[in-house]
Amino acid sequence: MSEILLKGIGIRKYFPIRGGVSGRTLGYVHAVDDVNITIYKGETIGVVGESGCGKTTLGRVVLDLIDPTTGALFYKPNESEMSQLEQLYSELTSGGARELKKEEKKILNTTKDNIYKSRRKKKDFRSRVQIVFQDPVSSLDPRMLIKDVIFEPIKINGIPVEGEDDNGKQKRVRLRGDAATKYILDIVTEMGLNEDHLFRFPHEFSGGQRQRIAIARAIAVKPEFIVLDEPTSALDVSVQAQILSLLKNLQQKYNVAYMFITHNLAVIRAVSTRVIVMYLGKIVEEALTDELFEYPIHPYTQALISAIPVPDPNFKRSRIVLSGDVPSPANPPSGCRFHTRCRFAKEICSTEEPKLKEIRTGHVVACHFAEDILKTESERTGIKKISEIAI
Amino acid sequence: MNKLVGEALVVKDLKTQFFIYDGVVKALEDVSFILKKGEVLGIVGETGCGKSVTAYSIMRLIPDPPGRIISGQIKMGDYDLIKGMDQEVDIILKKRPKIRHHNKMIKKNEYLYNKIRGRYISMIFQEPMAALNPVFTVEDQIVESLYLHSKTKILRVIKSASEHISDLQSFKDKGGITSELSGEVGVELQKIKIQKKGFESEGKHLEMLIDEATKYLAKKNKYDEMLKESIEVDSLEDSLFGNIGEEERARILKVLSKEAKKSHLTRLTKRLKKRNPDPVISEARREAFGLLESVNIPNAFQILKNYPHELSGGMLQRVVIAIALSNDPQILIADEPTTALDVTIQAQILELLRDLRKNRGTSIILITHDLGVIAEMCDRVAVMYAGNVVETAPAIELFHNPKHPYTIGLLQSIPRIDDPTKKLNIIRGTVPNLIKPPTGCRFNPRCQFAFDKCTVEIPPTIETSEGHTVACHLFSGKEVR
Amino acid sequence: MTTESAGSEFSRALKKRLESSKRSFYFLTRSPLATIGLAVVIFYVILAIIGPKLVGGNPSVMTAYPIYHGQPIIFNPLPPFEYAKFPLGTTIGGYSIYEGVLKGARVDLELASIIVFSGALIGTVLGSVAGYKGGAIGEAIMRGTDIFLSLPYIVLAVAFLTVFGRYESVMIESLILIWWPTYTRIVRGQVLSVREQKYVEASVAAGSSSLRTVIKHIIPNSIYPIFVQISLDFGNVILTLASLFYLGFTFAGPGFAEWGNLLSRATSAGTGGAALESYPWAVTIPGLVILIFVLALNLFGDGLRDVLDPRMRR
Repeated sequence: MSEILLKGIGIRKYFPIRGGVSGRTLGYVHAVDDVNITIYKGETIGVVGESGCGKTTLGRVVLDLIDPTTGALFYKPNESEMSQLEQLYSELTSGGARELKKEEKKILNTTKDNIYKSRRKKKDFRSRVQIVFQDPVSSLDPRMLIKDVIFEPIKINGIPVEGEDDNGKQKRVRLRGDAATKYILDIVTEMGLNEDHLFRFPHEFSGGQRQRIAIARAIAVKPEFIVLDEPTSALDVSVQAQILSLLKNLQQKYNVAYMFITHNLAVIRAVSTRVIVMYLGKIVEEALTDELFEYPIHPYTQALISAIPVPDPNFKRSRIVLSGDVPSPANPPSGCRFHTRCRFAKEICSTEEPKLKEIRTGHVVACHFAEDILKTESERTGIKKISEIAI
Repeated sequence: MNKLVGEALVVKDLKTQFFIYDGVVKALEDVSFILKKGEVLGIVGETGCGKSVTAYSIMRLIPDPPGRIISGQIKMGDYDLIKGMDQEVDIILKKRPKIRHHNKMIKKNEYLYNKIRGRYISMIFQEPMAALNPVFTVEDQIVESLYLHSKTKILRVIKSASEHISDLQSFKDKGGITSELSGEVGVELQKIKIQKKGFESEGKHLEMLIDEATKYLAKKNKYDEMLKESIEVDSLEDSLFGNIGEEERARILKVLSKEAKKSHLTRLTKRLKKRNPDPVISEARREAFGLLESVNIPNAFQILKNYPHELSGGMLQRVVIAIALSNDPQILIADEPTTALDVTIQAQILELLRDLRKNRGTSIILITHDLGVIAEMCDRVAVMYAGNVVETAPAIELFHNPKHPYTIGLLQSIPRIDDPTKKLNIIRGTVPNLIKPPTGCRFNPRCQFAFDKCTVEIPPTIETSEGHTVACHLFSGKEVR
Repeated sequence: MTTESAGSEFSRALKKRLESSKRSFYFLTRSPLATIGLAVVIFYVILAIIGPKLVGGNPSVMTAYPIYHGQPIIFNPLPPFEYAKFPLGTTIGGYSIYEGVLKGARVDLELASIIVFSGALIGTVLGSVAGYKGGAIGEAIMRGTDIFLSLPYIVLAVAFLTVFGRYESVMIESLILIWWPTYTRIVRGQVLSVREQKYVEASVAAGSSSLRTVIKHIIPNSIYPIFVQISLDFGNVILTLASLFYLGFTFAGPGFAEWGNLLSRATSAGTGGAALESYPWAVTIPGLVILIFVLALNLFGDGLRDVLDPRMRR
């Protein structure tokens, strides 16, 4: 595949639950638990899961907006650095996925700072990544005019131009006055807004327009990577279609990589090249989009796909209705976290945590019975390229 | 037409407007549709198309100010929910000058409206948390709802139970249980158990049951009194559908306004706090348990004792549905019931709604923006745009043979999980501002087929095939296809 | 559009902002009480600006007229509306009440402005720090706030004036010390909620520094409730000043033009407690002046609260 843009290894994020008079820590919410993620240049990686699965937290950690509890994060890593760390990590977790010991955490934490050893590096990283939020109401400062909203990241970071500066970094220029206005105008025109809109307050816009503004703000500094945190969940379908096509066009034009976080599998299928399915802070399945939707292996993925209402009354399929709710991430079930709701669950599921294993090329699943499911699935649907099966 | 195909609700030319700083928001403009008995009618549309306002108008929940139902009819049978309800309340207001003082503030008369509205129509909302009071347990809230709406029913249950028990008592007096009687007694026991919704443990002895029965009997006179009063209140509601003498009505209203004096919740909490609870309440508690079980809540007994914030979204929505069902409504309006929920939970709730409709025959109005949910749930669909119903059709017809350009655009803009290669079509532009809606057809600025007539004339609603109506100039005058 | 100059861009932005204030003003004027309050407050501010010029002389000291037309009026105040020279009559010491009220408006509004705005500034800065940074610093600030809030304020001011001497600066400082904690609390609460807004996170993600985020996003969005508090506190400060002067904790001579001081003239030593019976105007007129102003401020503050309440906006 193409160049690696971002790589996260062993990312964990535990939020402490404080309580009592003294405010001591009573426990941890395991928002993200031991996740490895790689993002390639120019791709769209979909992250899907129900509320509380840690997908939003993962997006924040990847952008370095919050510090992970453990884990290393690399922006355009070089090969030697990478292999060294991957080896270290596989050594640490060789005994199966488990809680890291204190000294192991320390080793990982020292390398965590890779992205920004200095302020300057951090700033450089910031100018290369951006985020778009779900809620178009609270993501724009209500007391700022739209032109100021879009100008903010440009003012801080400048925009990249051809050539490199003395440190071998991308050269950036800061725009002022008319040049800035023209630049902003160009961007908003591309977003389907006009000049008039620049002199309005956020509350004067509809949800879809606000989301366009938020995207304009993100794209203004020509980033290489944008985290889209449920960008269309609060929008109507017709507006959603507009935004999705806008995002697609922008991707083609600027070759930007997206991490598309959503709970809507239909949207994921429409936009992403690769999908990660998360459940209670863990990746349960990862595959190329078509592969995942054609041959979902993990029982959770299967249930998730079957639960989506299809806008066609004649569409018939076997429905898998999961019983119960998602367990609390503060107290996740032992073993496989899905076993409490899984229809295939056996004894081993509640005791031993399944490791992610590659079951077909590029198709990674964390389930004890992945092979069995694949076998019955291939018998049922008749997967053609049976030779591709890795086992 | 047989009985099941009759109309449960007819909405005709409904017009609701909001008067705000910027002007008059013409939220609903001549909205008409029919809900048939036992069917699921889907109302679909984008934000601001007026689908929720329609529901609120039917429920008479439009906040006034700034909103007002300008004109139109909402009919259940022969009863007009707008005029009839206002008349009923007006009569009460005239009797009670103190309330009349607040004539304009519907809020003050909320109780009166509640009493009338909740009896036949229930509504569930998108945010289940907002529908529940955070400081009361689930049990208290279900009991309150039962107490408000189904008191008579509960009292009747208790009364018949106590009659059975008095029979049992006489058995005992006659010399206890003999072997030849045991069969009969068994039957009686069975009856009581059913009455009590399985609350009694299996091993309970007859003596204990009789013991409980005597406790009931001690209050028998009180029940009769309450029952009488309650039936009086109840018959007002019956009067909404039937004719009743003027004198009788005045008497009923007197009772009703007496009821209105106190806030029900305060009165109820007082009763709940009593050490020996009101028998109606203890019966209502049993009923509450049964209701929770009927909406497939596991360990319902535990859930009853919880506060709303202790429950997950899906569980809360079930509780809200249970409350909505507590008065056995003929019509259930579900306003985006699954929008705030995860897909796997959404699947559970939809399953539940499907069961309800099958088992109880409740007519459901399902309001949603998710065409997938519509496709899975509905018999018929009404598509709304900018305060108008633009198309009504049976679900299969609508998805396979949409007529209105907006419906077509909407259907083509959904990403399809079953057909990812399909290119998303885009409806250009945005939903219009309803203070200054476009002239003529409200969809004309965004419509790709728009022609001169569209900007001038409001399109009439035309029936293109049986049960399929569309409001579009493309179909006026000539029969397309 | 590129031909448009930066000037017109600026004016367009300004126009837009004025438009939005107009909307707020409309909501304010929808409440008749708040409108009356606002009108009265504006009237007082005008008085404070032009009042001292109308009567002339030292703007903060009242002129004493011990004798009028050969009559000693030090202890025999003249009633109002009888002498053109003293439209509102005189008080003990031969001071014109009219002059006192006008000059007092300037003095009181000046003192109150210094105290309230300094308090609000200190409170806002500390509150933002406590809210945004949190941790040990935030905790320390908030506990300090608690301590100051639990002190009885008049007593503290009295103590300060007794210990450090009766100077204007001591009085101002002691009152500022009393007035900042309320603002710290309000601002911290606001910051805590604004901090969680997505636009703050977006700004951080865009590489904005903490200081920039606080100044550009957090303070502008959390500052509005303190305007309400300022308008209410203005009244409180003026009452407190009047109380202190009335109790005799002054830093200036008996002719100092302050409403409380003017009020206290009527009951100053040597006149006994019979002021209200013998010359009621000397008590009621300054009293009414203070009462109306404080009442107007409170009405206006309440109206402002309604306008700034997010539920009122759409």
